[in-house]
Amino acid sequence: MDHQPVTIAAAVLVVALCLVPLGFVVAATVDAGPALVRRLVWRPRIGELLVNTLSLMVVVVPATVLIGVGAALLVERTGVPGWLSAAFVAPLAVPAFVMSYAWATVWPSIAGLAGASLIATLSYFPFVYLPVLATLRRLDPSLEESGRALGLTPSGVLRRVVLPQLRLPVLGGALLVALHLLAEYGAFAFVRYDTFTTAIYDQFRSTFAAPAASMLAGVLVLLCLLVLGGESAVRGRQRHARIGSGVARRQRRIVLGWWALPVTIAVAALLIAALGVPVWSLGHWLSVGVALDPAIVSALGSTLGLALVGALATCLAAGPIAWLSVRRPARWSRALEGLAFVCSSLPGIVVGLAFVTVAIRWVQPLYQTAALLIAAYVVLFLPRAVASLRAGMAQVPVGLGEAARSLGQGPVRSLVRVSIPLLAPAFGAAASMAFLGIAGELTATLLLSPTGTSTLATRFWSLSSELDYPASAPYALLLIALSVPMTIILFRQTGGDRP
Amino acid sequence: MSEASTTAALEVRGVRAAYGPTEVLHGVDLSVPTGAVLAVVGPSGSGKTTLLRCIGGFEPPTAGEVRIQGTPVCGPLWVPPHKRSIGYVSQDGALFPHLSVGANVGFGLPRHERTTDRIADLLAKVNLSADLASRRPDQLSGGQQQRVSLARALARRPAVMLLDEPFSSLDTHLREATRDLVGEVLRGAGVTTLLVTHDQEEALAFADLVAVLDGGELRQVGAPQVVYERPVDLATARLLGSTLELDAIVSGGIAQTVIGPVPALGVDEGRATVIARPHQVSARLDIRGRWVVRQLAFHGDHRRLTLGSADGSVVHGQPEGGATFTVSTDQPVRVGDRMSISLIGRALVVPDSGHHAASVE
Repeated sequence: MDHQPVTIAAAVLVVALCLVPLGFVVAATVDAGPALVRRLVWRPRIGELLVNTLSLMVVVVPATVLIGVGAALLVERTGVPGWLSAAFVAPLAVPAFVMSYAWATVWPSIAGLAGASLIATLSYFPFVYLPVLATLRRLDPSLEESGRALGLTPSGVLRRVVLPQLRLPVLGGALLVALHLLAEYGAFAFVRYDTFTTAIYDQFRSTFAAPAASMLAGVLVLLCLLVLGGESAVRGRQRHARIGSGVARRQRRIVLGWWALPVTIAVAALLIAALGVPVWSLGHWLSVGVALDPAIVSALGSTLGLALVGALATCLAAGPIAWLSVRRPARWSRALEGLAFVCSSLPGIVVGLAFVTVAIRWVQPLYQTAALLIAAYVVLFLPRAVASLRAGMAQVPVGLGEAARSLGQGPVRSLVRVSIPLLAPAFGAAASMAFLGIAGELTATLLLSPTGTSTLATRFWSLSSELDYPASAPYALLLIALSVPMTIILFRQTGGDRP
Repeated sequence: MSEASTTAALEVRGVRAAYGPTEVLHGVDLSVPTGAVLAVVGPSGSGKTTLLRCIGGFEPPTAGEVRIQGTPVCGPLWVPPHKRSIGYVSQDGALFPHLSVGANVGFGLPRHERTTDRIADLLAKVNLSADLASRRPDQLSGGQQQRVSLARALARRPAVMLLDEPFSSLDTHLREATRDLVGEVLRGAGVTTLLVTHDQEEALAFADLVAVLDGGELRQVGAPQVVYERPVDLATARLLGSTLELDAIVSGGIAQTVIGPVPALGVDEGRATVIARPHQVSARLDIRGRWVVRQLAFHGDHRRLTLGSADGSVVHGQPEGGATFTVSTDQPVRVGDRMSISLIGRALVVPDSGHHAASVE
């Protein structure tokens, strides 16, 4: 009770930080004035980018949904080998821009919508696969049994009982895919496919933080908000809850029969494309055997350092928001949390551009400092830290604190003896999620990293853009190695490792 | 009631509490003698848990005073929960999941007192083996968890034990066994206890004193039998169990009802209600009876009948023939049979406050 005002103040500060990118876009628009805005927005280039970005969404979102749902159903409802459930998550360990690099190795002329869609689909389908798999595992088997008892065939049960219950995870996954499509820079720049994000970066490189870049960012923010609003409108207030506390029994497995052959071919093709190609390309370039880039040690050092500090800062910022959302669930605290989430869904390019502009205009000493970069990381990775912490806090019932108080422990001692030990795992998970995200971040880091500092991602990027594929390979390997733990954490969180 | 001394271990005076603009306790006065077990019973939303939380210090009252062993803990001076000398057992036991059973039991003890022997003693008090000390709480059954929670609360020898529906999450057969054991332990230790429950049967069976709370106000406090058989009004009567309610007109110390005259000494002339508990009603097959058997439930050693008035307009407050009440019988009856009823012993007659319109023949 006593520390609540401090917590609220801290949460408001964090949300204020998250509002910087949105505030920047609004301020830039107001600054430019209606005439300039009209001139910058109503031009063929914007139309071209819109068409490119939307085409990408129209192709990739349905493709990832199809593959994600199909893979989850295959793993959960048929007798395919158990290791497949992990294999379908594995592409998450390959950052999208590394996926592009790998494909450019085996298909040097890869470009355009086809190339971009291929890369994006292979990189992002696990975003749909994971939540759908988790939901399938939690589905109440008695619903499907009731469906059968009411006269439905197995495919009827799938269509009328199972698929409708997958709506929410599919929507959630599709939202993530769409946001990634809007935010991704490296993967699309590599295959020379122009989206808003790549255009903003090019504009930034040529004219720095000029109104042109800001207006592109404004349109991109609008697109993001549209995607977020659209998802929330489609989702509505729908929640699927398991009613009753029956014991979850194992689902009966469907025998594939003569479908086995085409399914095997499709799965093999998918896995070769999403995992085989990166593994082969990396192996190829590593075996070419060039002198190791001497900068790799310092890049690894600064990556680890930034990720460590960034992860701690993100967790500290996430704490108050998670606490309010669990312990003070009111309309205002939900609004605060929602605001932070929406702002954090904005692409790294917008966040980077905003922080550069704000620093140059108002807080010059911060420009090109690690502190500014860390602040941007906090904004970008806040939602995953909040989600982990919130889940942990929800598992520490208020009653435990009260029990400690009734047993003679003051507020501080009950915090030390009960809350902190119980929250340590959630804090660890939150910190690792932020750490691993930061370690592979490219776009904001390109804009904000202090002069002379390169991370694994930025160094990989500059080497591979110069087409120095062999020298890039060790970086790619390290980036993948750093993504593996996150992939495992995500897989475990969805219960994917428990058949 | 056990031989409670004259001093009250727990005193609640004029306590009011509110959630936002909604007041849930409208000035509650309560006094629990040292060593007594008092059950606060009431429907959900009556404010009983809020009352307990105000006493424990988890919720600040908006007005009023609470004294534990004569010391004020809220009112002009606020004493935080950890300095109140309370024990607290919640609905789910609230065992710390990161600690072993033994560490849970010793949690509130000073470090030097957390010895294996002391823990084993405490576990033995609640009939648990010392071997359980090394287990994790989630390896225990619900009943065991509640007993560990009680041992943990007892360890600090609290002046007042607060039990918040501690048996409600247990299975029926486990509930009774755990309840009996907890009652025995608490009485053995002589701890003043306040139990909050929505289960009137539990309140009557467990406590020396029963307090009926309804709509944030105390209706009645007294020994279980008194509160059950002599409720102050109809609402209290209904809260404590099944009732037969008959409209009556009192005249000259006699209440006239559809089943005949009932003595009503000390009740003013005029409209009144006769209230009887199932054990005070005898029902027998009677082809010209005014009652018809609507439902029949076999309970092993007896049968419970739900009787409705055959003409539909004679039972208190429920004019349209839906009026029902339950009695036990060992006669071979079937649904649809006619029965007549009579009262055994002294039924209670309470004057009407005037809002019941049902007529009396």
